[in-house]
Amino acid sequence: MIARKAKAANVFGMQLYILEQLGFRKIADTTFMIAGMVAKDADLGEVKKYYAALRRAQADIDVMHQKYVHYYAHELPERFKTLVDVRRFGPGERLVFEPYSKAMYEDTHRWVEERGIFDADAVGAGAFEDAVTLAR
Amino acid sequence: MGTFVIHTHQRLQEWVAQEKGYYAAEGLTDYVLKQNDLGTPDPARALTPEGKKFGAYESYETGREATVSCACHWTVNMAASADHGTLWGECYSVAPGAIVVPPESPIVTPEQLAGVEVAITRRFNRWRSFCRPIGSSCTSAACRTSGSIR
Repeated sequence: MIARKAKAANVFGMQLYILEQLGFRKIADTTFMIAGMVAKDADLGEVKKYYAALRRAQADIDVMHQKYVHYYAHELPERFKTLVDVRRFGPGERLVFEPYSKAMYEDTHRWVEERGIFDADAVGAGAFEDAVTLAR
Repeated sequence: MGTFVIHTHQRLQEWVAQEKGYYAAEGLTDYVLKQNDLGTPDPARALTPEGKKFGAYESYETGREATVSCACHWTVNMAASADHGTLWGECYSVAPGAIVVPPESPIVTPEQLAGVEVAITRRFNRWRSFCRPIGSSCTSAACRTSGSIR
């Protein structure tokens, strides 16, 4: 977008904050939903500790995200660091500590599969019980 | 088990948890924060050995070097279904997004996007459900990895 190779773009999170600061104009709001992937050999006890830590961090961000926006600089590519002021960025992605339910999983899987977004050999078996890890 | 490798996701939570000592407080002491290398302008990473565009799914397919990581829930859904890891079912996240145009663009309404090619994150089809009713172009050729800025 900055190089004007596209006339419009859908962007999310930090990319949106960057383009807004550079004067790009919002035509419509969108959202981007994200899920966590756990490696097959992960210790689930450790994974629970990780998410417990993130839950506490989310609460801090909710109270006052401005205290932490300097961390965006860790994620910002070098070429953008002189173009934007991360102090003006918003809270960004928000963690939702609710289940990624079987209905969510199956509806999403079916919707994506119907539209051929992924190659046929990439869609897998589509079984919630095998693909989703629950803490309990 | 080895070191718990956390891929950050251009978000604040992992950094705040580290600053506040929350990982240690929860008993996670052997960990490291790392960035994934998706979107790096490295031509060697642009295509898979099979000639496919390298994206989040392909990173799971070839094996991300992370204990936990994130991606669009469609990608994680599919990659987990194909046994490249498992989707963590106790939490998800939502990021604010927008369809934007350059400041000099004459476009000011969604209807004016009709027929306009819109760059989207590879496979990010939520936008497609928006652009279809207004007749905007949103073919795979338009998917120019706008969602990744590294």
